Amino acid sequence: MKRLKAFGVALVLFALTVLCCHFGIRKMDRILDPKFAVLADEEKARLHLALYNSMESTYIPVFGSSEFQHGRDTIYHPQNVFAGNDFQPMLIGAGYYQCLSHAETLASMEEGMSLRKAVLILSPQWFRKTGVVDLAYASRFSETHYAAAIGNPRLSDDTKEYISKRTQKLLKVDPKTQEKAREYDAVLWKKTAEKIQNYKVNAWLKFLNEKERFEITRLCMQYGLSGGAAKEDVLQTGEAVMQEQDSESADEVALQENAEPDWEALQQQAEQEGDVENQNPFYIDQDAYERVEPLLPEKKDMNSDAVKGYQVSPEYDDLECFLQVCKELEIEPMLVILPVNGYYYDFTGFPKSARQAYYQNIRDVAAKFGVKTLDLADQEYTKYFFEDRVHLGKKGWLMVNEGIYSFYREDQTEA
Amino acid sequence: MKAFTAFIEKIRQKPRLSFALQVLGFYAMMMAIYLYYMLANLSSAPQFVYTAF
Repeated sequence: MKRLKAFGVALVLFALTVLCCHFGIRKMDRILDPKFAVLADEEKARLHLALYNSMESTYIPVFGSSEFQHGRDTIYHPQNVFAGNDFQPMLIGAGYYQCLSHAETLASMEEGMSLRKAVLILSPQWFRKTGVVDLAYASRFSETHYAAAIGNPRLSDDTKEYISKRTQKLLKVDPKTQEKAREYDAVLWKKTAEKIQNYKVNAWLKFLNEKERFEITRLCMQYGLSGGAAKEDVLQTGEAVMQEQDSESADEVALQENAEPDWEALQQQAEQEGDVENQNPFYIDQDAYERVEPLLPEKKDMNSDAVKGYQVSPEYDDLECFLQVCKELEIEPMLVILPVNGYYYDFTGFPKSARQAYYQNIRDVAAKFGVKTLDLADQEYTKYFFEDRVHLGKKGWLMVNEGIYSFYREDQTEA
Repeated sequence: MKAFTAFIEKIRQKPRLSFALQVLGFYAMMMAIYLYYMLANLSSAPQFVYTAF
C-alpha cells in the first residue's frame, strides 16, 4: 500500500515535470536566430516543426545535399557570406537528400512560407542509374515531413500518389516505417482508416512533434542558437571568419550589415587564395587532392564507357515531382544546374557528350515546367570552383550565392 | 557489507525518509524512460554508411 502511494506521488511529479517540459520547449518550434537558417546540419533537414515555423519573410528555402557541409570555414559559404543580411537562405539537406525528400519537405513546410520562392541545387551525381539509394532514403526519411506533405490539402491526388508509390518502393528496406507510411496515407490522405487507427496515428504524430522539440532544443544548445539573436551577434560571426582569412585581402571585402555582398571583391579574393592553395591538376583544395592522389592510377579512364552516364535515372521523375509540387503550391522555383569538375571528369574519361546531354536534360525539364535556372554548366573548367572532386569550393559557392541572392531580389527590384 | 545493511535498516526505521526515497526511485525510473523516448534515435531504418558525396 505504501509502495502504491509512493508510485502515485511519483506519477504526479512526473506528470508535472512533463507538462513543464512541454510548455518550456514549445517556444522552440520557432527559432528566430538567423544562424539557424544557414546551419548545415543533417538533423535540421528532418525537423518539420522548426522549418515550418522559422521561415521569415526574407528567407528562401535552398534545397541541396552534401555541398552544404563543405566550405563552412570559408567566407564563401552561405553561412558566412550572408551574415548580417536580412536575407538568409534556409539551407535544407545533407548527403543523399535528393529530389523526392525535398519535394516532401517543401510540401510539409510551405504553409509557413510567406515568400513563395524555393531553390533546388542539383548535383549531377543524383542522376545515376539507380537514382536515390533506398538505404539512404530510408535513413533520411522524416515521418513528420511525410505526414504533413501527404496531408497537405493543396497537393493533388496524382502528386500524392507518386510520392506515396516512390516512398513505398524505397522503404522496402525498412518495413516498419513503410507500414507507418501506409497508415499516414490512410489517415491523412485517403481518409479510409478506422477510428482507432486515426487515434493511434494522431497520438503518434503528437509524440513525434514533442520529440522534435527536444531535438530542436538540443540543436540550439549544440550550436549556441537563441531566439531573436541581435543582428550584431550575427555580423560578428561573419567578421570573425574574415579575420581568420588573409587579413590583407579580407580588408578589401565589404560585408556591411544588410548590404549585398561585394561579389567582385570576393571573386578576386577567391582567385588570389586559389592561386596559392589550389595548385594541382584538378584545381581543388590541396588536402582534398592529397587524399585522392594515391587512388589516381586506378581512376584513370575508369568511366570512359559511361556514354549514357547521368542520362537515364528515376531521379528525373523525382525532379518533375518536385517541380509539380512547386506548381500546385504556387511556389516559384529556381534550379541550380551544377557542373562536374571538368578536369577530374576528363581524367576519369567520363565522356563530355554524356555530361552535355545531362545538362540539356535538366534544361528540358525546366523548360517543360517553365521554371528559372541558374545554369552553371559552362563552369566545368573554372579553376577553384570546386573544393574537391564534387563539392562546391570558393568560386563555386560565390556563383551559387550570387545567383540565389539575385533570385531573391528579383521582384523587389522590379517593385 | 555489514555497514551497508545497517544503513538500509536505519532508513527502514525512518518511514518518511523511506517513503521519499521510494518516490524518488519511481520518479527517476519514469524520467529515464521518458527521456529515452524523447532523445533516442528510434528509427528502424538499416544503418547506411555515408561514403560518397
